[in-house]
Amino acid sequence: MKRSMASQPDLPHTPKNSKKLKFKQIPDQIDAKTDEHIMISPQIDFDCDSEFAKLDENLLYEVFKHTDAKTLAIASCVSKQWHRTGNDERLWEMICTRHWSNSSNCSTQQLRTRSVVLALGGFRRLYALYLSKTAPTAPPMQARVVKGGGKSWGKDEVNLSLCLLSIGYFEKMNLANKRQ
Amino acid sequence: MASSSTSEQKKKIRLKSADNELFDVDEDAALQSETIKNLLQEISGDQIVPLPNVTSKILAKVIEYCSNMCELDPIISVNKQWESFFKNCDQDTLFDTILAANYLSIKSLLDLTCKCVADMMKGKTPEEIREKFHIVNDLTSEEEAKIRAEISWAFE
Repeated sequence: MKRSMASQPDLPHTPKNSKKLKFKQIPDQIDAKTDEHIMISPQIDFDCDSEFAKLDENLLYEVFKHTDAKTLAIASCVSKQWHRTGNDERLWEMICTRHWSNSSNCSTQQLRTRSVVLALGGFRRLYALYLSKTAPTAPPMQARVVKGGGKSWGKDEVNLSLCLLSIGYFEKMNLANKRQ
Repeated sequence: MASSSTSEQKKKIRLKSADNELFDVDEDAALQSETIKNLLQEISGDQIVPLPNVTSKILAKVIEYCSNMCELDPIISVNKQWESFFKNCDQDTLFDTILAANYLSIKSLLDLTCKCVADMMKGKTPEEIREKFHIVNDLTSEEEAKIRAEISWAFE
């Protein structure tokens, strides 16, 4: 019954149908333009001939999980979508803790440092400000900042970078208070 | 009754790709996919498992990978072989395999293929990455300058 009802008014009511379609299309277009809702379809972002367009943000995240800090940072200025995904704190936490886990048993300490780091601006900030300078890939700086630094960060390096991060944070807070 | 007599033989699972090609796969290879494992619980007996999101070309590769992982003992060397395969194959195959591994929930294959893409990005500038993967830069010049300033340490 319902089917015959639906199929019969098809011809006489075509203008109504087309109106409905238009209404449906308009919000989609707005979503695509505002950029905040791109999660819906990554194809909107890129040309269709890009193989990367097949991957949504979750899969882009999976790819980024396997990058090192430098590659991840550079990838974040490739496009808007890459910037959003590349700024994910979880990725930067993985990069920071990948080095820490090599040092002595600080797994319980890691949990504590996590809350401190997140409260003080996050792992991406921590890496950009301090760890990028002491990273094993930058030997000239390493000698200056870390006395006899090994291949991975030890407790001292972690504590030092955390101290610097919190000092930097409180300095900013003081400045902000004075301005008020 | 019949199933108990065949259980000694290697049980086969029949998979159907998006383009309706049929594949008979050893059960232990097929079960590397969490998705197939779940689908098998839903459908009864010897029914065909439909995989509408995977083409026969990619499914053949995925099955080869899964059976390799089951048969050969030194997984590390097998992994190396697959890694070099994915590094040298065309981007279409690589990205379609990522999609298939994700859809089929085969974690080791997803990790392997994603690592290959990550390695392809290593040591490149943003421009080179865009060129390699045909990505359109939709950042405004101000946005890009701001991001580059934030990560100036990465360009040193």
